[in-house]
Amino acid sequence: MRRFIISAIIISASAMGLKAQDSNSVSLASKLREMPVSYALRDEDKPVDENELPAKAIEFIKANFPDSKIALAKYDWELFGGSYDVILVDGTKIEFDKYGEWRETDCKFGEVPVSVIPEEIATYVKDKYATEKIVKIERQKNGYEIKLSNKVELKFNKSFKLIGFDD
Amino acid sequence: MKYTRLKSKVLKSTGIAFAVIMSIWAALFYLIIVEEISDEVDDSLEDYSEMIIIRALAGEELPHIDNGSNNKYYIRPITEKDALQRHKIVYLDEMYFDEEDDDYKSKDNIFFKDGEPARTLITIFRDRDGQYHELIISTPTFERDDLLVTVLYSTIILFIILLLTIILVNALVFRKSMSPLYKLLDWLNDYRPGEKNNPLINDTNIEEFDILNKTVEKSINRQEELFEHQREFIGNASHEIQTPLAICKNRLEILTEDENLTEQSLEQIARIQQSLEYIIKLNRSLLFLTKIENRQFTESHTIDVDNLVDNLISDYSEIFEHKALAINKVFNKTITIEANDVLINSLIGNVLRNAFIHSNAGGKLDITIADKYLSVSNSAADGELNEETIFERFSNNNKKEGSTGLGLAIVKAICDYYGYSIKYEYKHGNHIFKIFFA
Repeated sequence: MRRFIISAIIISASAMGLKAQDSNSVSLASKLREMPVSYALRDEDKPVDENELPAKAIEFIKANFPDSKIALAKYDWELFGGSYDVILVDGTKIEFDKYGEWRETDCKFGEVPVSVIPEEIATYVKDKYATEKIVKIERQKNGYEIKLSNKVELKFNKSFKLIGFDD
Repeated sequence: MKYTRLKSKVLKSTGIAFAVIMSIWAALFYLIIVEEISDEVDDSLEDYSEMIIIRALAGEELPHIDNGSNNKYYIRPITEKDALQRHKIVYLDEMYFDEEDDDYKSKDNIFFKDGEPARTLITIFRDRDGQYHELIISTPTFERDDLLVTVLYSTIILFIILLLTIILVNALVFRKSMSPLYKLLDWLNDYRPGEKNNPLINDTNIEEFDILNKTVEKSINRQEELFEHQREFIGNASHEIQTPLAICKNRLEILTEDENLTEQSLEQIARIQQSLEYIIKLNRSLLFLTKIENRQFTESHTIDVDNLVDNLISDYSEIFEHKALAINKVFNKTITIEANDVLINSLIGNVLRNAFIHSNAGGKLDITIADKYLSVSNSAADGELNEETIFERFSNNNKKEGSTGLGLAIVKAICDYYGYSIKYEYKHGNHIFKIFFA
């Protein structure tokens, strides 16, 4: 029985130790300048410089948002493939996979540039929702998903056939 | 060599192994949960930060400071120099206070009180004019901390319960499956060769135990057979030797009457006669033992033990007068038994004669009759005897002259015959034999 209690104490002690480590009191100023140690352990977002982004991602931004600069770029670590999140100064958020292929373009307060949207989808929206703008487009393995300014969401398969509708 | 029981050995080993393995498992489990919960907090901070940055950049209205969510934020411009020196994304496990910023300080009231546990995310971003901004978002973590404490205690309690359950299940399974072994051991422990033993009833569907049962039974039966043969052989041999021995004795007696013999020859014959006497005595004892074991003394009489003891003592004190023993008789009770007088005579006679023979000259002899038992105590000339073997045949290595080495074996056989028990003790330099007539 004593053995079990000891193991329990060891577990709790190690847990306490972890917490104590978290709240050590290094001065704030130095913390802000130093690279946090825990990036790798916890999947905290890591800031990325413009020149650290995959070339494909930079190309995508230059081609489709020629007037916008990058406000903030970060790398979101995940066990199976992380992603780059780029926020442009106009409030557009673009998500790239780790190879620089775009997965999502979100212009919540603007409009997704026509150059990003596949022609068939653009035509479809123009036909059916002439007055609405496309504010978000997601590119997935088996198709596209778009969101219109009236909050309607449309799902297309690979051959740009509408397969889902959500408003 | 110290022995542990198989059960405690198995339980101890599995218990330790499981305790170690499960400790590691529980510790890892707890750490993973801690990380998962912390990540959850970070994710919500990141989402909130992103939302505010996008709204700020798009020139949209920012959420009200007191927007009902627990998150608090503060956004302020910083110089390019500062921005380039610093890390763009910083996580802190505390509140963030900038004492030099008056505007920031004035907003203290919107942040949590100092010292409250919190998680802070500081993000630096650039707007379309190239101006850098710093967004500070804090969220209180006491909920997270409460959760972690709960998880910690749950993990520990579940760990202990699980471990105890495993050990308990182990113990039950062990007891259930090992019961035939213990039954067999108990039976073997009770087994007495040459006596009436209970048959071994130990049904089991475990192959190993079945083999063990059968092997033990076979070997016991074989032993029993050998024992029986040996007993028969001793009985027959003693019986057959009797007549030739008597003839030898007679012939020697006739020989001594021959007047032509020299003094020397007569002396030799006397020695042969002496040895022959011993062999005859030994043979008689062996025959007597066999008869007891074969239960040939069926006649029964009422015997007064006190009288018998008294008579025997007076007989022996005459024989051993030269030893000058101090004899002390204490008869508190009278004991009357129903038994064969030859056997009881031999039983008590042997015990008393032993006491007379083995006590030192000028020693002490205490004979006590109390409720249901007779105790014979004599001051020892030599040290303690081996309690385990004294009742076996020829067990005493340093035999006194005239002793056959069968006396105590006969005593034990008679006691077994009537269901009496006999105990040997060595106390304060005295050998004590106690016979319980019950």
